[in-house]
Amino acid sequence: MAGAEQGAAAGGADPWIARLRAGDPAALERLARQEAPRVARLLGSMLGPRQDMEDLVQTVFLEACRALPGFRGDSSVSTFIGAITIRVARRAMRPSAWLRRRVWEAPEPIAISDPERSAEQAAQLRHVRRALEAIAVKKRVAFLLWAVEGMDVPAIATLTGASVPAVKSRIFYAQRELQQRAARDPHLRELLKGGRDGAR
Amino acid sequence: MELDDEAGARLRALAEREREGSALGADAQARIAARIAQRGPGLVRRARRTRRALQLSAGLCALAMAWGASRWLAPVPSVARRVEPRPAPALQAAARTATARACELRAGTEPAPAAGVQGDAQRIELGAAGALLAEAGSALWIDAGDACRVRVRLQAGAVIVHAVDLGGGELRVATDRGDVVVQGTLFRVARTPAELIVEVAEGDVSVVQHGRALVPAIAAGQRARLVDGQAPVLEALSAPERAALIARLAPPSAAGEQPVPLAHDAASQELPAGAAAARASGGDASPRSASRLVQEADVLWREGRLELARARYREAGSLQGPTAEAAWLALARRELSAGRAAAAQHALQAYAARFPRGALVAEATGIAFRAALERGDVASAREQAERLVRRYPKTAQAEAAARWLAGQPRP
Repeated sequence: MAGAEQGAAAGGADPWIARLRAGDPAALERLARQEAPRVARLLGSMLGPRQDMEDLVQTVFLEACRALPGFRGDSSVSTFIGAITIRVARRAMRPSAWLRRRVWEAPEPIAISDPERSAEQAAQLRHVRRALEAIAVKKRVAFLLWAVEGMDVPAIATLTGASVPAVKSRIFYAQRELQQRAARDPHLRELLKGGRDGAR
Repeated sequence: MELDDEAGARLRALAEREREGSALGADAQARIAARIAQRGPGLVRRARRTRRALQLSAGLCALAMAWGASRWLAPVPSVARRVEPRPAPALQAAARTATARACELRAGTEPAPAAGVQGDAQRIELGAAGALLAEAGSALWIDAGDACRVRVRLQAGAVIVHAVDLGGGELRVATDRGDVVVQGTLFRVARTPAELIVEVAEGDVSVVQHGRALVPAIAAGQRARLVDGQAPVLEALSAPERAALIARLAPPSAAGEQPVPLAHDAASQELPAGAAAARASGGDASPRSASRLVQEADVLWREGRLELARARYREAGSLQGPTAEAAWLALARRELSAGRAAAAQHALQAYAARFPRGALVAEATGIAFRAALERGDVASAREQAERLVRRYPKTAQAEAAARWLAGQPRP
C-alpha cells in the first residue's frame, strides 16, 4: 500500500496517526470503532434523541477522513474527532423545519417502568429541549458540554475553537436565558430549582 | 445566575436517561466502521490531492503577486527602458495629418540646440521656433528634445527669447520663481537675486507657478517685476527699451554677428542684406525656400516694413509643404497680435483657399476664433469655437474654446 507508506513517512511519531493520514482502511476502521460511542454520546447530549443518529455519527467520521491530511498530530485523535463532532452537531442544530418536526415527532426514548414518572420526565425533557432550542447555537453547545458532559472550560474551548473567556461568557448567558425562560415555564423551573425529586 | 449542583445533577441524569434510549447499538457501530473502512481511504486520498492543489495554487498566486508588486514598485527608469521604440515624430504626424501641429511636422528636421549655456553671451537658434540670446553671466539649460516643447531652465542671469513660430507647440522659460510661457512673442526674462523681471517686446506672455498664473498676461511694451512675497508689478516698457530688445535678437548677418540690415538698393530692395548679397553673387539663384522666405518676412516685420513682410509671407504661403502652410498662420498671428483682426481673417481665408485640406486647420480655426473675438463678432466666434470642440476636441485650441463656450449664455 504505497499510500499508507507515504503517509507513514510523513505522519510523525505515532504510527497509527501516520496510517490514518495515509488512508489505511484498517486504521480508519479502528478509529470508527474506538470513537463511535463517544461521538454518539456527544451528539446525543447536544441534540437529544434523534432517529438519524447513526447517519450523524457516520457523517462525523466521513468528515474526519476529509480532514485527516491536514491533521498534524498536535492534539489527540479524540480531540480531533470531538471538534468535528461539535461542528456536525452545530450544523444539525440548524435543521430545516421538516427535519425539526421529524425530530420532535420521534418516539420518546424514556423507559416506561413507571408510566406516570416517565410521562412526567418526557414532559420535562421536551420543555428542556425547547428551552435549549431558543438559545443561540454557540451558547447552547458550550452550555451542554459544560452542564451535561461535565467538561471544563479549557476543554470546551479546545473543542469549539473558541477562547476560554468566550466559552465562559457563552455558558453564563446560556444559563441566564434558561433561568429567564424557567420563570415562565413551571416544568423547567421545577427541574432547575428542584421542586419535586426531578430526574434521576 | 449559576446552575446549582443539584440542578446540574438533575439535568445530567435526565440527559443520561435520554441517551439510554438513543444509544448507538453495537450493530450500528459495526456498520459505521465498515462503511468508513470502505469509503474512508478514497476520501483521504481525494482530500490530500485537493490540499496539494490548493497549496500549489496559493504558491503560484503568491509568486504572481510578488512579481506584480515588483513590477509595480520598479523605478521609473526600468519602465522607461521597456517602452517600445516609437516611429519618427514626422511619420507619426503624417499618419494623422488631420490634427497635426506644425511643430510636429517640423519634428526631426530642427537642429537640436545646445544643452547647457554658461558664461559669455550666446545666441542659440531654435530653428523655425525662434532664437534665444543668453546674456553674459547667465546660466541656463535647454531641454529641446521635442520639437513641440522647448523648455529653457534659467538658473541665473537673463535670456532674450524670440518665439517666431511655435507651430502650436510650447516654449517656456522656467525659473525658480515661476515659468514664463510663450504665447507667440519676443520677451526677456531676467532672474536677479531680488526679483524676476519679464520684459515683453512683441505679443504677450504669462507667468505661471505650479499651474497657477502669477501674472495672467504681460502685453507687448510691458515689464513685470516679481518679488518674493509681493504682488507682481506691471510697468510700461519705454520705446527705446523695446526697440533695443528687438534689435538685440535680430538674426546675425552671413558675415558676422551684427544684426541683419535691410538692403535698399533697387536690385534687392525687398531682401535683407545677407540674402541680397548671396543672390547677387549667384550663390542663391534658385527659388527661395518657404523657410527662408518666412525668416526674411520675420526680419522685415520686426523692421516695421509690414507690406514687404506680408508679401514674403504670402510668397512663402504660395509654395508647397508645411512651412508654406505655417507662413499663412504666422502672418495671421502677426496681424492679430498687432490688433488687425480683419487682416488676420483675410490671411486665414487665403490659407483656406490655398490649402483646403491643410494639416493646420485646427490651428487656423483657433486663430480665426481669436480673431472673431478680437473683432467682437460673437456669433462667428461661437461658430469657430463649436467647430474646434466638435472636430478637434483634443487640441489646446479646443480646450480654450470650450472654456469660452462654457462662459457664454446659450443662444
